[in-house]
Amino acid sequence: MMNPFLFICFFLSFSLSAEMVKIPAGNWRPFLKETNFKLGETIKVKSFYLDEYPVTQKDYFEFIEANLQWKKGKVSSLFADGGYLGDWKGKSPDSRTANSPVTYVSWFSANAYCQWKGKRLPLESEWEYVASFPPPGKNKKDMESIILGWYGEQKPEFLPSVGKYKNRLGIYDQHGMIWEWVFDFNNTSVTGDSRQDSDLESSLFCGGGSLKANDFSNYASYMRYGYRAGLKGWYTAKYLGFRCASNVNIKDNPI
Amino acid sequence: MQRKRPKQQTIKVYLFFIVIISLFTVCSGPKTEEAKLTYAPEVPPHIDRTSEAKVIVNMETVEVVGRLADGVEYTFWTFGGSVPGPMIRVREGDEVEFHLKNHPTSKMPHNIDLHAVTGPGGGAAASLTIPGHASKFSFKALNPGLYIYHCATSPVGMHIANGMYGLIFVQPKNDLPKVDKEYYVVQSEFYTKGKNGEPGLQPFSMEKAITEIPDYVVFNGSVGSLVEDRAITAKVGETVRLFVGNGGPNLVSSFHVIGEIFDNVYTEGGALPNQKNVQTTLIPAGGSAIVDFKVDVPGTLILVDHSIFRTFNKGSLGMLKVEGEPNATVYSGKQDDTVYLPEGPAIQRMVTEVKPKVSASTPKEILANGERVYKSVCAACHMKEGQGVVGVFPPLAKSDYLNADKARAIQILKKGLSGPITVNGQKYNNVMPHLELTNEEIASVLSYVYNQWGNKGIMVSEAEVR
Repeated sequence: MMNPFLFICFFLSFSLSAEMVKIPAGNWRPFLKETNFKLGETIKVKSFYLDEYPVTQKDYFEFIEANLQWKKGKVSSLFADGGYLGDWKGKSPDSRTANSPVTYVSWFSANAYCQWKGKRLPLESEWEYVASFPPPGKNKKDMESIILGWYGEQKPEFLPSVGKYKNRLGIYDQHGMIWEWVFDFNNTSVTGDSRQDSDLESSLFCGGGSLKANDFSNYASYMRYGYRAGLKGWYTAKYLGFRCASNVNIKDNPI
Repeated sequence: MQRKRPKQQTIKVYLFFIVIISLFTVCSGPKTEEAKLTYAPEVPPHIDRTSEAKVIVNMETVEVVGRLADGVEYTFWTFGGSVPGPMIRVREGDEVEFHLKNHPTSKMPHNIDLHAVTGPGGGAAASLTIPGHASKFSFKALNPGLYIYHCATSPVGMHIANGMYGLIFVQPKNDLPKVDKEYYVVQSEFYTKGKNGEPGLQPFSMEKAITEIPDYVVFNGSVGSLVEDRAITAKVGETVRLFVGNGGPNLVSSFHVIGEIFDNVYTEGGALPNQKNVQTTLIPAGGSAIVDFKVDVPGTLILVDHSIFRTFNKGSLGMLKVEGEPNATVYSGKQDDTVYLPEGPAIQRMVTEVKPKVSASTPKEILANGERVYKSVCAACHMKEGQGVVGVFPPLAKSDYLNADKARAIQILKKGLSGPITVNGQKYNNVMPHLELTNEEIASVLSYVYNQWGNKGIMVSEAEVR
């Protein structure tokens, strides 16, 4: 007979296995006016698939087991800074946080994980487009207050399990738990002409922030753009994780 | 061959000079020192050197939960773990090497915009730092004066509203006159989901911040940070200089010290004392002022934002305690030392939103509610221990006036009070506003006061208040 505790664990891990959700095509109005777009102009986002949950610590551990070059302590400093998997005491995650989002991962490691799964990191426009859908029965104002609430809450001892917040498309935890890597995280701060970088970057701050914003009430979004602008590919941070996207549906854990 | 020899000599001479010059440059080059940062109300020590230096500033951003008012907590985003952040002092012409470290436990990216910097963003873009990282940039302190610094990461307003600001003083080459005491005071406002006095951890309210209606207006980051045993001090005859900043994010400050006149004001924090004998100086949001004055008589001087309801309803009240021998001549010239209410002497209505958490029934619950009401409504003037402020706010501790007449006390709380009274032999002629407290609140706060500080220990029931 099965130990009931094991059964619960099995059930939990099964129920939390990352399914991909089909995201319908649609128009998305970027928060900031991009160089090539006019203020108020929308971007067409093609239909794609996005992980239901952020990648959990357990998921990431499986990846490491299969790809030893990404083991904690073995990763080249070119690809991840010294903070890599900094909240893991040993070489594996704490059992209490197995289903919490993995954080302290670099862009390179997140990218490698998604490739290993046959997926890719979502584009910023894709990620933001999905994140702009509020939870079922709620409006954007409610969503903003959830985001601002997260900014102000007391920091938990460890991150909760994924599945805390769900939006109308069925995607979990884009708000209220962690920041997430996107494929082109640096696209708002880099142009072809590097001499213009400082000017473009300044659009994210002070006056620029309000001159270039499409939606002045969407204050909570500023922070994600500010955060991304501060990132380099090898950086890792306590509240920074990721999820994967794909053009086709890829079944996870085909058990 | 003959020409070669002199050439070699010339080279040797050149080399000799190069060595001498480089030695000279190394020895006479700017000294390197680390800036001594201080927490409010302390001001960094005066810079005595007369040459320029390279100054290294190490500052850390950290997000902490702290006290905003009694019973009210807030998640502050800070420089150096405090609000305001540490004060920096450099000298005009110094080269400042700034290291900004964002603590690994932070959720947010942070940066710093120092208004003392000449350059894009005041250093903001150069110092954008995600959690667990550190940035470095340098600037030359070209302009002397007192400058605000603040975080400028998007959304800028929110980073400022959460506590990320402080002062940097660029000491002029042509030094300010020496004074005996220097203090660091920064005004700012906080916008919380709950109303003023609502207990517990209060989240930030973006809505109130946008409409510019703060729940708290404070000095140095919290209600009561500059009162009683935390008050700043001086002795009679000493000169006092206040470095006053206004972090905002929205309100401008009508900075005033009750019972003093500023001898000199360096308006807007500039390097020139351009005004003398000033009562109230306007400090813009994201701006500063330097004021100095000599204290002539003992007593407690009250630092306020003379946009006065902020002071008595929202917390912008600090104290400068002056000790020493009285001077009857000076004091007699200032007998009319009352709180100035711009609306005139009529009793004003003050809306207070302190609701008892639960309806109290046992005496213990009533007293607990009373204590909460007292701390959020009354303590700003009558002080934490009911001691009052001599000549300004009558004492409630061992108060003959209070103990003599319970019905009168109830009426005062219901309707306010103005005009001359005598409490424990001391005359007061002031206005106590009408506080819109509920009957239950009046009963509980009066019961609390009657059971404190050597008063007669009676209870006041809600029925009596009605």
